[in-house]
Formats: sequence, C-alpha cells, structure tokens
Amino acid sequence: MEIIQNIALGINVVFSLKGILTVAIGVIAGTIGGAIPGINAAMTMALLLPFTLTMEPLMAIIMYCGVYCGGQYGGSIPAILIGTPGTPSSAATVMDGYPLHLQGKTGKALGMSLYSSVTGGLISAILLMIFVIPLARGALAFGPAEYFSLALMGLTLIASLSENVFKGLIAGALGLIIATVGLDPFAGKVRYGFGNVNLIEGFEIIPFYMGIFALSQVMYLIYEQRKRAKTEYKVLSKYPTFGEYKSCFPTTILGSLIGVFVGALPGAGASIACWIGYNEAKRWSKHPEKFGTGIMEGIAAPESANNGSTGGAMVPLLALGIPGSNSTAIMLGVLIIFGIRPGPLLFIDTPVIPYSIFVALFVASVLMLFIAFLLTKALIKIVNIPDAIMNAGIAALVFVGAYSINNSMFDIFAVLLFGILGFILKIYKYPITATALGFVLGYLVETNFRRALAMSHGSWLIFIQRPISLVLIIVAIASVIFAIYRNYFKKSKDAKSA
Amino acid sequence: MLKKSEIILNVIWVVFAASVYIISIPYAYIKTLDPIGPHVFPQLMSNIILICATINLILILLKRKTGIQKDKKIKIKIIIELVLIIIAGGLYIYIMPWLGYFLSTALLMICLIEIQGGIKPWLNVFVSMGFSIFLYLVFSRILSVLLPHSFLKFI
Repeated sequence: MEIIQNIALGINVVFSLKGILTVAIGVIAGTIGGAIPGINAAMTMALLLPFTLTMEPLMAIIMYCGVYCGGQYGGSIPAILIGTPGTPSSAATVMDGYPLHLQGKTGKALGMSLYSSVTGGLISAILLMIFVIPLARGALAFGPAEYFSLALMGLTLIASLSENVFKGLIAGALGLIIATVGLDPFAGKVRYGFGNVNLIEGFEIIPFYMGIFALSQVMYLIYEQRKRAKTEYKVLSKYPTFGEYKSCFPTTILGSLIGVFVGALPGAGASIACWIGYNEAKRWSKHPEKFGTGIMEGIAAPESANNGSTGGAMVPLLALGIPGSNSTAIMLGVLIIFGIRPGPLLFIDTPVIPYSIFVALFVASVLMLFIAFLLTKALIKIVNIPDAIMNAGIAALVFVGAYSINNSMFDIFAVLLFGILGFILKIYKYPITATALGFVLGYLVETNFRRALAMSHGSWLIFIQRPISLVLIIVAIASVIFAIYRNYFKKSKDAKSA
Repeated sequence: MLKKSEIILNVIWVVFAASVYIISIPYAYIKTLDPIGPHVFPQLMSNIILICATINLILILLKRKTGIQKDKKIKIKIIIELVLIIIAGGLYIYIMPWLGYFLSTALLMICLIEIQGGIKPWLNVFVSMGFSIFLYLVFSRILSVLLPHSFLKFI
C-alpha cells in the first residue's frame, strides 16, 4: 500500500506539464550528446550541471534520468550510420548495425535500435523498483563500518575491472585524496589549503566533474585527432514491422536482463553490458554464423542491454549511495549539491525522490520513441558540426559553467586543473570513473571510517567483527586478487603455453 | 613493450604520495573527537598510491628484458595544439575580469578554433561571437548569473 502511495507521488511529479517537458529536454540533450562520437551521457550530464543550480531538485534529477536514457540510445545513431559508436556502450551495435545500413536497410537498423532501447529502458525501470526497495530495506542495518566497507568494495571493483588493477587503485585513492582538501569533518581545520581561501571548503563538485569528464574529453579528442565521417541520413527502407520486432523479442528480453544485472555492478556499466548481451544473443541464436553480417538480433541485444543498464546502475546508487557508472556518479553529485544523500534513508525521509526516478526512467524510455522518430534528421545535422567548433564550444561552455557556480575565477582554474588531470589519466588508461567515485564518495568514506573507529575506541577490528562489513571487505580483497591473477599470472601462463 | 613516459608518471605518483604523507604529519597534532585524527585517512590513501606506483615500477623493470620502448612518436603539431589550448585556458582566467565575459570568451573560442584549424577565419569569428552571445544570454539573462562586463557595462 505504501509503495503504491509512493508511486503515486512519483507519477504526480513526473506527469505534470513541467515534469514531462523536463524529462523530454533531458532525453533530447542526452540523445544529442550520445549521438556525437566522443561525447557520451556522462559528459552531457557534466555539461548540464551549471543549469541544474537554478532548477528545483526534483526537476533536475528527472531531467538527468532523461539525459541518461537518451545518452545510452543516442550512441547507436552514428554506430549504424557511419560505423563509429557515439558512446563506448554502442560499440557492439556497429557489428550488425553498420552492415545493415550498407545493405540499404538503414530504417530497419535505426528502428530496431530504437525499439530495443525503449524495451530495455522500460524493463530496467520496472526491475529497478523491484530490486532497489528490498535492498534499501536491508541497507538500513548498515552502520559506519558497513558503509565504509561498501564504498571500499565499490572502488576496488572499479579498479579490478580496469585494464590494470594498480592503476585503478591509484585512480581511486587519488580521488579520495582530492576529496580531503578543505575542512576536516571532525576537527574543523583546513587540510591542504596552503592559505588559499578558495580551498577552505575544498574543491566544488561541478568544476571537478566538468573538468574530469568534459574538458579532459575535449583534450583527448584533439590528442587522438579523431576525424568524424560526415553522417548522412537517407531512409531507404521502412522501420521494422511488428512481426520483425516480435521475432527479436526474446533477444531483447535477454539483453535487457543482462543490462540490468551487469549495470548494477560498480564499474561494469553499459560498455561491458552491450558486449555480454551481444555475445549471449549470438550464443543462444539458431543462426550464430549470421551475427556480424547485418541481422536485427545483432542490434536488438546490445541496444536493449545498453538501456537496460540504466536501471541497473541506479540500484546501488539509490539503495546504497554507491554509483555504478560515470553517469550515476554525476547523478550522485547532483543529489549531493541539493543536499540529498542517497541510501536507504532516502526511501523513508523523502520517498518522492526515488519513486520520481522510477517513473522518470519509465517515461524517458517512452518519450525516446517519439523524440527519435521526430528528431533523427535534426540530430544528424548537429552531429555534423565540425570538430574544431564543437570542441571550442564545449570548452567555452565548461568555463562559463564553472564560473557560474560561485562567480569565482578559481572555479575556472579548478576546471582547467582537473581537465589536465583527467586527460593524463585517460591517455595512460587510468579509469577516471574510480577518481570521480573517490572524489564524490570521499566525504562519506572518511567520515564513516572515522566514526566506526570512534565507536570501537580506535580498534580497527570493527571492520572484520561486523559480519556485513567482513563480507564486503572479503569481496573487495578477492576482486583485487582475482584481477592481479587475471592480469599477470594468467596472461604470462597463456603466453608461455602459446 | 612499455612506454618510458609511464615510468615517469609512476615516479610522479611516488613523489606526490610522499608529499601528501609528509604534509599530513602536522595534522596529527590537531585535537579531534575521533581517536585517529585528520592525518590518518590521507596518509592511508597516499600509502596506497605509493605501493601501487612502486609495484608498477617493479613490473616495468621486470619486463625490461623486452626493452623499454620510447613513446610512440606523437606529432609535434598535436603537442603544440594541446599546450596552446592549456595556455589559452590559463590566459582566459586572467583576461576575463578586465576584458569582460563576452570579449574574452569570443577570443578564447577564436583561439581554440584557430589552433585546431580547418575553419575559415570569417566563419570562426562569426561562430565564436555568435556562441558567446548565446552563452551570455543563457547564463546572464535566463539563469541570472552575474557575468563580468568590464567596459561593456552598458549591455
């Protein structure tokens, strides 16, 4: 009964003219961002951060749900039309999407991508609600030791899923150190301020995100000297029929479920989910040899997994306060800016927020259907803006966005500093997700760490004496050990046997 | 085959971590309500960076038999572009308060587009000024952000 009442609260927020328009704007912005190769949902969210300061918290959050959904789908447009994914999570769509386009079946490819993205998004919104509520209730038993161990597990999972686990740990620890700049939460003294008044409160979230996600990506695109092919859109074939969609429905469901579960793992995200979805669909298909030649199942699986991961990534964010991806890390930042701390208490203190998110994800998936039908041609014109102008425009937007927070030039300096840091981390393949997560969770991690030790009168055994904390620490250590084994011992064993 | 610059980066991490550790030492004398103090957490994180960077360096040295490769040659043009972009960003921070938002942003965009090349000069100026006006209208008029005007106060 309580759940139905809370869902009604969420419907009341989202199904207003303001709510629908806000979600629609988010979907449009996300689709545009996702459709431009080199820009992704996380970067689009980072660019929109300054605009959220003038919005109501709920409207800002539901807009970001729209950006998230739109961004995940948008990447499939250039993946199909020019064989270049707009986002890493659309890489698997190229395998069959581009060949279908070359066969003159552009409409079929774009249509199947849209239908399966919408289906994946809808399924993930429903599963999100089913899983997050009991998980949040279970998390009510968490104390400071459990929260610290949970954050530690989240960071080590991201580190262990990266190319080099030590690089991942360095990236995570770096984010945590950056978060310690400013006032100490217990002593009220400034750490690492060096007499600079701008550092009393530490670095602001918005300049950090804009620098590390947006500006660093612009610099990286210039470094890569990636030239985008001109995208042309001529619909030479109609969109898929209901029969064609129905034949791909089992694949779409499989992809959606994979997306939800993989998306829930911190650090895994849509870029892994799409490939797992594609490979599993190929494995279970009656005609696996046709994958890669241009078949609709080859688009349905990764796209449904892609948008399926949106709900999945929200599960740890809403229930535990631990984001599962870059995009949810930015959403966590948005919530913190408005003084909202996600976690189990969110469902008790302000249930309107999580339930509005459930409804917004559902509505965003539906709106994506109409927006894509109406706006694909217009979106492609935006995608064809020359790189030099796009990069300069993004840089200008980033700088003015950072300035708008406190009317301070220091924030522009911070954007530039974190932009350079993010760029260096990117070129040496350090996972910037770990740094972003470390920064946004830094306060939570440190305060819970010190609270736990205060409760135990300085005894570090508290982290292993409490069963949930012990399990989380074991998972964290096991993930690192497994990553070391996979990266070093298994590789050298395979190399020797070869 | 590993890159020389990765060695340098790991050395930088070691130096950074050691610096954080040393700077944190005086924080141990700050009285707090918790039993450990404000220095422990940053020192723990700096130890993690120190250990991981050291392990990376050891792994690089162990693989030395395959040779330490010089970095793949990045075109000088790209390095110059990136350096110029950073300088442009830095100069922007200094000139905006006295030149005002609109002119400094238009100049920034003109510079950034010119550095990357491939756009006709008239189009560059047109787009830069147009986008700067657009951003000004959005942030100043719609979002009510106070942007510096300098001598264009009459706007």
